[in-house]
Amino acid sequence: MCQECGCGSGGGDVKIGGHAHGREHHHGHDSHEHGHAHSHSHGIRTLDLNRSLMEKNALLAERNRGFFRAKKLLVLNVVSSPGSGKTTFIRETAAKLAGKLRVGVIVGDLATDNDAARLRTAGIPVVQITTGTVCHLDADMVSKAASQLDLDQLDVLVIENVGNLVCPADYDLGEDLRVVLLSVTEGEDKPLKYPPMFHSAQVAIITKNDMATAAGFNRDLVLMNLQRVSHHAKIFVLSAKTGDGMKAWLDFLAEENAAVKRK
Amino acid sequence: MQPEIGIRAEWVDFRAPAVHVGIASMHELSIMTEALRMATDTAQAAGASRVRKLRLRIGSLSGVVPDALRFAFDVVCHGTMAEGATLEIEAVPAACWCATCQAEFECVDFFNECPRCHDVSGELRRGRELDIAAVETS
Repeated sequence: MCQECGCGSGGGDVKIGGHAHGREHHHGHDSHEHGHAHSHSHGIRTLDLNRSLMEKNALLAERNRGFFRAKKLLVLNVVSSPGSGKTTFIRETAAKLAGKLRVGVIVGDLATDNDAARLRTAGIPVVQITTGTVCHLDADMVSKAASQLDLDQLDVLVIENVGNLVCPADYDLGEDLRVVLLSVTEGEDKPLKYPPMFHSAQVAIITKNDMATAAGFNRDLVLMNLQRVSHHAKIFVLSAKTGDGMKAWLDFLAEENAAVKRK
Repeated sequence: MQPEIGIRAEWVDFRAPAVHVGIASMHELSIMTEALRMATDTAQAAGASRVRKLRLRIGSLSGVVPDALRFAFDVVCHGTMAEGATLEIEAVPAACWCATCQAEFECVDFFNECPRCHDVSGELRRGRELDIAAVETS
């Protein structure tokens, strides 16, 4: 222990490391701007933390997951670039599940409630989160938004994340499945350009397939790129607008929902 | 400097989009805000009056850009006990585990070919780190 400044005593859980006295360790007053008529301790100390910066969000996400599980809710975190068709995809999913599964939506956007309005017009219970300048949703925002929905009246909770393939990748929201969308107009190499997001998804959906020919979309190439980054992901190719390919996705959701209800 | 988060369950009329200018929309800002919170909590618990240095450990596949973190650092530290502190970023290169060779190899992707046996591995051992390693206080 340092005899001069007393550091090394106390500190609770904090492990005080890096305190070898051979290193630079100021006890003189020359390095301080303020006067020194007082006698507080002012040594330089290195406190080891070795903790994840995502720790707080991870804890809140696990709390959400436990809460959603108790409610027997299937929770999806839907992510994509802006304009990949998240809102239309969610609206059509909810519409086609009507009478079988009840779907509620939490929508995240930087500004406007346009997406929420589009969903609400379709009769879907929806809560809008406007994040202002924040480029992603976090577990705390989702927890607050979820409290505004009557979750007991829902089977599936869809979280439409902010359109962004970078930032939301690091934020677990407490979802069961992360669903990443990629539209046929976006370029086949997108999974390679944004690997953290595609790697973290359990489901990858190629949307707007009705435009594939017009866009010159190379389906084999995108599937190869998806498998390279996200070999574990379940892949669907569909068009929410025409309904083509939706059945396989809806059957998958029904199975996942049944699995959640059994838990 | 907390960005405003608004949750609106009921919107009645169409509203003009709000215009947000000035602050870059980066998750690095949120991550740096959290790093500063952890650093100042630790420093205060230890009875220190200043945070002089923060050391972070950032994996090459973490999705976080070190330069954006440095930019965010100056912004979040302003007016706090960490004002004027230095930021040290320890970059952690990503590594995959090859089950065939029973050894690690450095990689740039999530899914890679082992340079020795050319088997493909998706078992990432390092590279996703987003940690605060230590804080220097006085």
